[in-house]
Amino acid sequence: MTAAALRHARYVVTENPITLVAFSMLVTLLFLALVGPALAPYDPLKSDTANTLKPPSARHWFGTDQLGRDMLSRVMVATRLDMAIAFLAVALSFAVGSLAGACAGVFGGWTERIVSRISDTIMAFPLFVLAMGIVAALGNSVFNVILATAIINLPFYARMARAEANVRREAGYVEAARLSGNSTMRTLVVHIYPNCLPPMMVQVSLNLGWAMLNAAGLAFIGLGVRPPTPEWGILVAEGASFILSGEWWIALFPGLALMLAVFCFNLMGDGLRDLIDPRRRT
Amino acid sequence: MPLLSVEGLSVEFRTRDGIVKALDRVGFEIRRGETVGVVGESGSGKSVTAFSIMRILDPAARITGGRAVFDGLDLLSATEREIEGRRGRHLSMIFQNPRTALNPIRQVGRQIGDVLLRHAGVSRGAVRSRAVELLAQVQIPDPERRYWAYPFELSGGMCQRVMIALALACGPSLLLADEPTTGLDVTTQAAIMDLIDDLARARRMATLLITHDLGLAALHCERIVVMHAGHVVESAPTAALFANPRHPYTAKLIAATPKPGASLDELAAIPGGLPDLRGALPACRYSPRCERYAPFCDEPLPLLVPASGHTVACWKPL
Amino acid sequence: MDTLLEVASVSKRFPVTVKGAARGSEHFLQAVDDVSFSIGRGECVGLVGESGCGKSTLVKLITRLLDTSDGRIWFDGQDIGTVPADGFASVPQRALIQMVFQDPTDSLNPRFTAFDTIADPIRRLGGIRGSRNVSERVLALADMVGLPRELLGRYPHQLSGGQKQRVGIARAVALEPRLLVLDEPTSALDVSVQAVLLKLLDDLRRRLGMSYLFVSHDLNVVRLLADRVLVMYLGRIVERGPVSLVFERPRHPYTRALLSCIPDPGGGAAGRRIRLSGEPRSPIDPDPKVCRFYGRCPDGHDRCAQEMPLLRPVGAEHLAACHLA
Repeated sequence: MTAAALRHARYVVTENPITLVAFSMLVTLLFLALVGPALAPYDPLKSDTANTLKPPSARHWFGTDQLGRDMLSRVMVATRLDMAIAFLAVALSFAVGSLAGACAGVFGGWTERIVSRISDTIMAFPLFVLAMGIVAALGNSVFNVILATAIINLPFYARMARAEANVRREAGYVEAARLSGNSTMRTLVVHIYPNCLPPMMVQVSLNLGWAMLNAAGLAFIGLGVRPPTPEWGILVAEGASFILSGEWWIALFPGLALMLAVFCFNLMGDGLRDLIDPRRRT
Repeated sequence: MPLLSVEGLSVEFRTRDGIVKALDRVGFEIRRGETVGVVGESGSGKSVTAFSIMRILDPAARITGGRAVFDGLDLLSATEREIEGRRGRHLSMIFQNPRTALNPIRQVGRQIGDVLLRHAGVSRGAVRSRAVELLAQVQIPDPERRYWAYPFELSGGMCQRVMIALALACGPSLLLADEPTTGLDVTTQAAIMDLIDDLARARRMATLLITHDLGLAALHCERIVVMHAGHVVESAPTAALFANPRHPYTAKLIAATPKPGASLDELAAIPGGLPDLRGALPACRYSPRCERYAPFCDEPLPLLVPASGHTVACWKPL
Repeated sequence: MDTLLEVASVSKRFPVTVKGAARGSEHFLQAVDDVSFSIGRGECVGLVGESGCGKSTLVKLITRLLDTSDGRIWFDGQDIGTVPADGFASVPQRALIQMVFQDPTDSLNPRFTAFDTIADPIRRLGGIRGSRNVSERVLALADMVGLPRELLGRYPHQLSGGQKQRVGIARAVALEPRLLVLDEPTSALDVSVQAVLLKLLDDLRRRLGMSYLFVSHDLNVVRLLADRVLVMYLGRIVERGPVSLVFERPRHPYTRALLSCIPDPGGGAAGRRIRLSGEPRSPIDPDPKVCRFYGRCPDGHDRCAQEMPLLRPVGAEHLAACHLA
């Protein structure tokens, strides 16, 4: 079984060159997230006042910032935090949102009304503003950034899951499951819910990019993660004030890293869905 | 002079698992006003044949040989422009699932109007009344009101009538009907087929009826062409085909169809399954399943010449 | 004959909203209306009717996927109508009433292999513990329905229509039910595959001693397998009786029309074809005094619009609901 799954994974990744590119980028990012701090040439927090605002050179590939910290190291180390926030926020959002949506789609009635009203309430706000509000209210911490990002993404999953579950509720195999002695809850969890997943995979991938931008955006305006913790948003914020005076590298490289990560997630969408959908297996 | 003469039609599909040789040297002909049935099971290639003639095949398909001469023009080698001039106007098609073949977000009357404007050269002012006339001709009750209906508001039978109206809007001389009544009730099926028969007779229109239902073909077609795995295996006038089937597959197909008076034991199953159309195929694609197989059956079969008599593609016919 | 299933005056109404109706008024779609019949042990009863006749709803009522609005259902002497559909999964009778579905693709979970699909009822209700025992049972079932063992590891999209349907049949008989409802089991399949599966179904019935409720629009197929037949129209049973009697001497005009529309593969036209005019009456708020077939019926008297015809005997065990029969 697992051998077949691995073969299928390999097939999906190599079939489409775009998936391959995206997948390679993802692997690189994950690698950096895991071992980045160990590989970084310099301590990202250590300032070196003799070497402030130096442009990119052989010693400092990405240059140094206003406190003489090596930008390359800071960008590398920030990968871990950004990736962690993105993945955790989306995982939380996905888990809670899709389950709530699936229950709403299958049970209807009050479950559906409650889930819909909560989703509508969340969507009534400009989502970034809502995230700002949540973090401001709960305090600046990584956990609150994750929580806020998760909350604002809930409606997308809830809606999608609800629609998918609603359609599948009438399917023959669901009736067959009930005939086989599955309770309504079990039918939902074992039969309906897993079949709702493939269409949501693309959404998950896009969401990862969005969540990352969200966290970076919050950090940019001073909420959530605070300096000196390296995080791409903070780095861009710090670098922004130096662009006009000509030190372009401080904002550019973290910005580029952010862009590439989001790009990678966007490309991954289709590939992820193909991985999950058994119909794509040959 | 036949209206449509198909000769040596061969079609391949490129798929990720290899090349599927969907059709191999298919040939038949239809004369003006005649109704010919193409009968076969799923995978026999009957729909692909129709799509090839209309040139609406999937992009993965490639016509690798043959001609389909319609009123002097070879449809298979004609340019897109020449085909567009014929399609919809002289040569038209109705499909299996009427609801999905109609645009779900456009009223049915307007869809008919679109065809009239594009192909029949009807002026904008006259379009609505012409469309309502057509709806009445296909026996849709209350056509004035139904002009504004959406496909989802109509039953399966009514949607099929709308599709017939669409197909007949420009008075074509040939109608390709791809499983037009599959999925419809028996009584609706009878009504729709009667409608097609009546309209065909009134307009001297030829019909190519594609179906897996032998009984239906028997009732409405003057000649029947039997297909199996991309080959035409037999072609004969209806009465002759049933009275005296010459290809073993045809005989088995007739025996496998439940009919009044026959018992379950008499129902014959056809052993084996369709051959895999990728990879190497024997000369006669039925031979792996045939109980009459003999070594000379591996000789390449002659091209089945489209003719009006009783022809069979078999080295050892019944 | 020993009765296995007894259906008495069963009805099912669905509330609907009607465009342009007065506010606060309630409207109902009468899907099944006052249906009564029985199925004996080991018997095969055919149920024929066209789309909108209520046979799908009736099937859901009998298999307890839906609750009735009125009427009682007895299975093996027990009143199973009182247990709500939601809770029926845990009742002992659940295993004894099973179904084979029409669409082989829709009735199999795309994420389950054939093995998992067949094993599901065994794991839930089969009382068999241990994966080795479950495996054995699944393999035995695969053999019984003629499904090659090597196909058990495949997903539905990797199987042909006939193979998928065999999986569906194996799943349905896994718990050795007493009543098997077959909802157009072969209508989505080719004729050659159909022949094989019909013989299999007939064989299984005798071997496992099951009763069948065989739903089909194809009367030729029903004729082959069924002992008795029920004809439904717009939620009511309009005729019922032994297959030979109903098919050779139909007494209800709708049955006659239905039979006359069957194409005969023998090549001859099946007699004079009765063309039905118009569309069926609306099933919403039907008038209880008017015969449902009135208006489309080629025969028809004033009495048909004043008094609903009830099933009455017209032959040996043969009943028809028509004033003129």
